[in-house]
Amino acid sequence: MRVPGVRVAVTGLGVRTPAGAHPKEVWNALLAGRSTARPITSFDTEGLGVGFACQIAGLDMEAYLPPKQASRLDRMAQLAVCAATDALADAGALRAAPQRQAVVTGTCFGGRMTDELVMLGGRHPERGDPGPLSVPMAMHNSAAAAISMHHRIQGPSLSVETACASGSHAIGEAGRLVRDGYADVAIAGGAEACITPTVLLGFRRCQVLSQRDDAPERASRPFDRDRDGFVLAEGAAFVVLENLEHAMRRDAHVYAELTGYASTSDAHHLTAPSPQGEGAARCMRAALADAGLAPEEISHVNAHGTGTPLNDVAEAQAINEVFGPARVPVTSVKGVTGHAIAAAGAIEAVAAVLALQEQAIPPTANLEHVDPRCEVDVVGRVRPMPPRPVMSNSFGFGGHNATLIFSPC
Amino acid sequence: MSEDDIATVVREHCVRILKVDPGRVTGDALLREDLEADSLDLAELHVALEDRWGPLPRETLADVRTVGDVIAKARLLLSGSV
Repeated sequence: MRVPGVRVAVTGLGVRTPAGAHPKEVWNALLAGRSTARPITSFDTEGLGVGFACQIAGLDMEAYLPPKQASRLDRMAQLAVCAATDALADAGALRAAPQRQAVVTGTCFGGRMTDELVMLGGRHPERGDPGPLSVPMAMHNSAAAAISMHHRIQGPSLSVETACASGSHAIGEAGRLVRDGYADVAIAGGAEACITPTVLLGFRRCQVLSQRDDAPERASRPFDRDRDGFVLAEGAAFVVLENLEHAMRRDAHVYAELTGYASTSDAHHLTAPSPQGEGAARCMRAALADAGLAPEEISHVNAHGTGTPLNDVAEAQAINEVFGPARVPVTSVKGVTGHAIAAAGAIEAVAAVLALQEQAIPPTANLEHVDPRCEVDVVGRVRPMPPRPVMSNSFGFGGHNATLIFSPC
Repeated sequence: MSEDDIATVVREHCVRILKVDPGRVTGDALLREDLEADSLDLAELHVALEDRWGPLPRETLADVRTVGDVIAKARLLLSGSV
């Protein structure tokens, strides 16, 4: 069914992150390299082993939904609706019929706050206290459903779940819907709102979280010698993907072209990356092939770069395998944003598109001493970049890998 | 519980669940047409009344049209005549 010659343009961006609620705001925060990690104040963290995260302050839904509709969404879907609505507004008036529009969202934990509230609350510890709204609010497709209803998107509306790679997979799969002719416009991204006691405790016991409680702002330090895990974050980011011809016909602002996407699996381990990042390397190569690009044509890699000891070493090995030793600049924005799980890949896709537009590589915050086991060119200060394609990686628990490539248009 | 108290409880739940101004929740206000209640809202109202007064038959709110109908149902149930 693939329609020959269909190119996919990025025509809208929307974000809700601890680093800002507007792409420009996020971009400035990335350039400044200031971490958004702070002590958690929304619940008591005593005894959880970690007391900080990257949280969004003051989420106001008033401009987006009537109060009753907003109250029927978990925070995850609320963040998604805000970012998706902003992205659609940024894209301007679309001409595609509702049936030719699609939405693809990525989430890992779904409506987790709703889940915890009804499971842990109420008079019956063994059955919780679910109300009639608990199922539709906790279901993982709730963000796709809300965006579809709110914006009358009547083509495919889907939810993709590949843990920390969900946001990138959502964008890549939505890009395929447009490229293969199933839709003319697709709004795609990821959302996560999982800063809760049980998620924090679960990740901490999984031994993947930084426990630098005495200095939260220095805790998220991808590729740094002294990193000790990631910092949990929440957020959402969405992009509007559009058939390039359609976009040009309506004189839309085109930020970039989505030229490459690949999805691979490690088929190796529940949480650990495959040795030498084999699955990740295969994914990057496949994305280059999809885009018809050679490694030396990539301006920089926006890494998954979580700041866990295992991820960063495996990812660095994979990048070197594909690009040659220290041949391509590498950055991770998670030093600023923290790790927003399913939203991470979407936030980073927006960062990659903005880097193309601003022709600068944002720095990796908190990088003091590059881990000698990560033999890549990690960008520690803002660096100018030529107007060449940007690669963005995401890897999820379960061995799910996604790579996106955005090119100047 | 007095009849007035029952009416007050029902109205409070309607205001909270339907997120409308209390002034609109009058006895003859139509739940669906005037207050934009849908099936989920009525299910929430059902659970709220059960939380207060114990288990209710599934069809309790099946045929209510107005806020007054809900109040009348609640009074009937609490008087034990249903």
